[in-house]
Amino acid sequence: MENDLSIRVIDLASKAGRLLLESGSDITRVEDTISHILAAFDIRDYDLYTLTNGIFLSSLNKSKEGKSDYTRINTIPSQATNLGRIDAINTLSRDIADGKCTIDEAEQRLEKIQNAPPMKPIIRLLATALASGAFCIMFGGNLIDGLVCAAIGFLYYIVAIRFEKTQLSKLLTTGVCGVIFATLAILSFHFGLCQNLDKVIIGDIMPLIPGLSTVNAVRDIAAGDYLSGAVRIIDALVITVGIAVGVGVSIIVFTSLGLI
Amino acid sequence: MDILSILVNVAVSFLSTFGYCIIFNIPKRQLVFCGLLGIVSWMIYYTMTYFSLSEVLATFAATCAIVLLSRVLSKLRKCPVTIFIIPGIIPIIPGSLLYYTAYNFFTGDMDACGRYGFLTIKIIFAIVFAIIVVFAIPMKRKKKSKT
Repeated sequence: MENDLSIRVIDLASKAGRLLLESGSDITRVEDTISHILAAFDIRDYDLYTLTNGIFLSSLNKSKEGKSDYTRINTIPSQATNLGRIDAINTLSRDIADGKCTIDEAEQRLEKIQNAPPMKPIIRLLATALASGAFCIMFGGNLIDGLVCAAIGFLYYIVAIRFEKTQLSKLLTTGVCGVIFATLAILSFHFGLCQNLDKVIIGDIMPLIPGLSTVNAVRDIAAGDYLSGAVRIIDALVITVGIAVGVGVSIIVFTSLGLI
Repeated sequence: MDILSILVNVAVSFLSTFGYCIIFNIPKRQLVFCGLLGIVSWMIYYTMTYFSLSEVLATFAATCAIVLLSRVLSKLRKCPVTIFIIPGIIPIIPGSLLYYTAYNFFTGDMDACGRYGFLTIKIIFAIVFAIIVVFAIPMKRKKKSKT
């Protein structure tokens, strides 16, 4: 019976950690959450090792019958940023640590968090349009540039959302996104829809910028998780290079066609 | 700096940060705070560069303010600190410099490419150091009430 409970707790903790990593959390938060959950159910004898794409959690259970080991290894192949989920799991782990939650409740709540419906694509598209239009004006474009930029942001993000479900390299997907929005921006500039080509492209770059990877890289490295930090830096670099190449290729093509 | 441009900048920095937050599914009850952080960071950066201080210094100051505010907010609103840092930092992430670097790289103006490229790297380092420095400041932790 005792043994059974500890297995459930370890399953719960490693699942919480996996969901956190999938949603784009930093390593320290994952390890804190797992150890808080384990401590709340009085599991002290364990080892935990976390990487950007894996959690290794092993505990030693001593009982009258002898020692028994229980190990969970989670691999996290892909990540999709979902800060709302991180917040929800944070609240859950806070409640567990304060003893407000039994194991049954905790399992149910985690299940609910996992199965929470994803945001409707149309809302994300509208948000992207809003963000890119506002960024365009913020960096010095005028109102018409902002509107064109918002329209382009709406269009190219349709493709970006499609790409999220595939396992293609991020270098390729961001590159293709870059080609799409740069092409649309150059064409609208050529036909006189907008006046500042650079501002329109910048506005559309901003939603793709790897802000989360950068911040996580810094925090992981500051916390001493150099390996995970390096992985995040490479992730951010790959996305940045993808955007730059995508935009650059379209600029070269359209310059040689004489459209800019 | 006239009053109209200030108002426009406040409005667009709020809207852009707000939209960015929705893309990353930040909980609804935190959205307004995230937008306000966006205003703070962009207005610090905008004012400092307007008075011809260097972009690197402006970025450092803005990031410090954001990380500090995020830590306070995350205590007050009982929320992971990342939720506030990401939107706060996003207006000052050098997306425009990245574009000018790439543009000059591909059109063959290597002088300008190098100039923009190094400025981008310097600004990223400013962000990195600001995050590390402000996170190193100890803050009082609320003691958990043991039940």
